[in-house]
Amino acid sequence: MSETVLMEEMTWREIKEAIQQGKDTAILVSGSIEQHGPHLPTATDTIIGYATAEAVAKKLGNALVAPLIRPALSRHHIDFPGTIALRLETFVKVLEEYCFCLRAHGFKKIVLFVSHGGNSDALRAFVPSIAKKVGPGLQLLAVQTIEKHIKAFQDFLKTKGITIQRAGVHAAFSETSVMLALRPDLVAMDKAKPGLTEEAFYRPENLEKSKIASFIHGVKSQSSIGVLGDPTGSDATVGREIFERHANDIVEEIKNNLA
Amino acid sequence: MEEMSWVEIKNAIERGKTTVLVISGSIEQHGPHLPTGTDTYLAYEVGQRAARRLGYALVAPVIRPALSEHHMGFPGSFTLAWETYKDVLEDYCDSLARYGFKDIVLMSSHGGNNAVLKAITPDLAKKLYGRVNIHLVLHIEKGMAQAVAFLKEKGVSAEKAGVHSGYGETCEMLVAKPHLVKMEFAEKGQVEEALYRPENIPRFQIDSFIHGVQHFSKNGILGDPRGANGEIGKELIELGVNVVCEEINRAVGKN
Repeated sequence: MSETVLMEEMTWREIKEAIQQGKDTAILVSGSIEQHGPHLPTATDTIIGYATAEAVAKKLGNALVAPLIRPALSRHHIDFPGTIALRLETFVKVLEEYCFCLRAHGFKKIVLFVSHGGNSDALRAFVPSIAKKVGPGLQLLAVQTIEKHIKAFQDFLKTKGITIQRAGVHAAFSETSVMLALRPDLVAMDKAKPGLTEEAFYRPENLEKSKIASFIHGVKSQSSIGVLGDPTGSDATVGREIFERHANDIVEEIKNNLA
Repeated sequence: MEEMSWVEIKNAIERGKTTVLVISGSIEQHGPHLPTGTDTYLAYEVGQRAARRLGYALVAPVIRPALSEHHMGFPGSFTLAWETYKDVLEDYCDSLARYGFKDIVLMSSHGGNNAVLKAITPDLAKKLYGRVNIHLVLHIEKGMAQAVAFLKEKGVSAEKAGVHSGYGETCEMLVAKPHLVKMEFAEKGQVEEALYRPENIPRFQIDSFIHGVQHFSKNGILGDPRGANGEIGKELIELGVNVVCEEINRAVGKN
């Protein structure tokens, strides 16, 4: 078993020594606690986010993973029981205070990314002002891979004969396959049912509009079961591949952007 | 709740699980032998056991990080400003109030949250009035007294039992997350008897907030974890769950 990179599982001395030995990059992911259809747990984004961060940190070799931020921005799922949403202001304050804590412990770089698309725009909007507040000596990098990630799994799944409306964007084939690879014990495939499968919704050029509609009208108006896409037939092997590709994309992005 | 789907949560509430436990934990140093997630893991452990026994409750995702300013001298500790912590709690309650829960029980597995939790609960209860009942169950104080008495019978002094990463908490972690406990690194921490006398605890808390826990203990331990074992841990957790269940029953008016 390789050594853990999750700060919450480490002692303070282990963290101190790791930072001194050059693990000066903290990975800070924001996930969610929100409905993921009748077949996936509400912590789905949190589980996938933690696993992604762990994989990324191990691939980088010089990073530790901060406790994942959850709940976060899930107002568009609030009509479904179990969803917990922070206000934008609360989320930004939490994000900021995490960064202050990481700075206090001597980290030199913080890499931020999201495992929940709903947090993405806030990260884009507020990381610059947070970077200004934490000041020099600490480099902040917000890795924006959500749009790229969706395009990448759409293309990859197409080669497996899975349409973009089946691949989906929430609790559908792509995400359910990843969960089957990571936590099959929390996936109830017998409850998996198709949700919104209108092709136009998922075209890359329409995704921004679709997202805004989710925020205005709530996901429930788009799918009464909370599934955007179709999870039936999801496959753990395909999920593992999607997961690995995404982690690799993030690592590449980090290497290209961090001095 | 985080392991359940929204449909399962909805059905559980409709079938009478109308109480939700919102427990605040922490991410903070716990000595050289326990992980920084200790309070969070213990919150889930005690929360789940209590909810199962009560039969009418679900457990919300544990709030962490929370209030750990006094541990910030040690790497890996995270703290929120108290205003932010209050906002997070408010957002939790506003979300949970929508789903048919009748009672939200606020609890904490980390002593450092207690005072603020106590101070902000009336305001929260007022904001949520008419939507859901807010209750505060500060089980640690009562549980701690019982744990100290129990450990005394086993020949463990109050200063060894400790209040942070000492004998008591380490025993509990040997039950909750044994693979994350490194007994080979367990060392003696602050064991000055006078500090742990009940009448001196409030002063001790204030001083540790002012000067930081490192002022009282270089290794971050308040107590002495050496010799901790899971058998005692099981009994301590059981004792804690008993107190929690009793207090929750009283708070929501059951039994």
